[in-house]
Amino acid sequence: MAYQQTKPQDASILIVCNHQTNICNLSKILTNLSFMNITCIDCDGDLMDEIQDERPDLVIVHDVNPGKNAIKLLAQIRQHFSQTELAIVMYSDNYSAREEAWMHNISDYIEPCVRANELKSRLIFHIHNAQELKRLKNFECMMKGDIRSALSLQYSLMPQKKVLTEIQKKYQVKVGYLFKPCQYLSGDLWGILPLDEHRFGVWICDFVSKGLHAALSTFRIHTLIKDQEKNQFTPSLLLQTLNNKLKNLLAVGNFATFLYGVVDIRHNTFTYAAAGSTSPIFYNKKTKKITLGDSSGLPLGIETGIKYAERSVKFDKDTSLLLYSDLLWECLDDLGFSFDDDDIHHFFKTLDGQPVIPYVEKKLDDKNEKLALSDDLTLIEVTFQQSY
Amino acid sequence: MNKQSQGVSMKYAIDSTLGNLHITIKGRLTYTDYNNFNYITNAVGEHENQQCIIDLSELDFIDSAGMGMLLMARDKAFRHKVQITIKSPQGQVGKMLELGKFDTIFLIEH
Repeated sequence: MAYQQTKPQDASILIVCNHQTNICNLSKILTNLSFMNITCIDCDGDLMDEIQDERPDLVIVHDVNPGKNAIKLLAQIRQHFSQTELAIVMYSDNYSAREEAWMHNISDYIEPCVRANELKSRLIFHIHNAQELKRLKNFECMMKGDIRSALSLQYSLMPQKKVLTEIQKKYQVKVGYLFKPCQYLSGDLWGILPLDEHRFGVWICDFVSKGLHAALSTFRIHTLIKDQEKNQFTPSLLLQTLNNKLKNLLAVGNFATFLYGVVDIRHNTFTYAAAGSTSPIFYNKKTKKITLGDSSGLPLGIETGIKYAERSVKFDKDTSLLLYSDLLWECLDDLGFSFDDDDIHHFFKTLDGQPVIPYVEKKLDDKNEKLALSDDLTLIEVTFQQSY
Repeated sequence: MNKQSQGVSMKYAIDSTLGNLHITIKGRLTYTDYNNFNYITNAVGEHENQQCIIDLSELDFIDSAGMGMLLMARDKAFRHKVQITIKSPQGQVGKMLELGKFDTIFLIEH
């Protein structure tokens, strides 16, 4: 709202006076200027409680008796309400107190000789700022609540503990994951689904950009995949279907990188299709062998009718499959390592057979709150524990 | 028309002569460049250009949002019947375009 639209009759003002007999003089002046909601108190009462209860837009410290220290009063109020948007104006003709008053972060210092219209205009300015700050704080509070709920919903889209336990038991694999939005919500999502006695599917998706828009798109793709689960689909067919549907849903410039693969524990294969995602990494902890899968492909949602290649990688016992969002390609600045082609061998050498997720988690912990990731982070590690 | 910009990340220059639009993008093209990139997409639809060359030879880094911006320019070009060519993507930029198989939807000159 523009400052000129703030009306004096909508403002609440609390006048604190250090001389009881003069307490209503300023009130009368302000009433004549159309300020209607005015409360006058003297400084001897429970001043802080009064201010807390009244929650005025503006407190005016009316210094009419220099003998009684208005500056001390001012300092007390400011200190007590240091964390709030309370605007405090000193109304005084005590010139010697002026310099000190400003040191207590007052909003304004107005002398009684000021013209009526100027007084009105200056008070309205501070009232407007205070009301806007209150409004923004309320909005921020509401948004934080909404975002907490949305993030909780987003977490509920991801594989739950029960599903992971079942998958781990049924297929004799270990599944770990790390998921960290860089802002409030994430544009990444992943999922895992049992297919039959010896096969399960795993997918990872990363929408362009970050924040709310990308996060809302993750809900869309989750629904689209759920819709497909009742059908028999190959990796390439799933990508073709999702791509055609997303093309109609996403605006130009938006797209998703995606990978869906089927782990076959009977044949020790990972058969997958990819749409410009990061390369799946196969890492054998014993032999230290690293294999990078080809993940090239037009991202989902750009053009309809795209065919996606199906690729297959054979893995050994003690191999881990890593799927990850593109932050880990380029996060040298954030975490001190990256999965870039040039760095990846060095990374796994440093790891020396240890699982990846605890290592990355430790890096995150070490950085603690100082870490502001430049993108969403998702990392999935599937370890095949036995050969069939 | 000759326009130039200097920013923290992406820098660009637009030159339009005799129906050819030449756009040079330098530095880093990331999600922070959405507003600046509007000047580029707007230029694609201006004047009577038949050809648009986007020179990426001095672009050091592109993220997925940057690739999305190229798609927006492509869409604008398509609607104005302008043929768009991406020229000389290097290093990480070349790898990203290759990974996303952008050569199937853009003419890319190496």
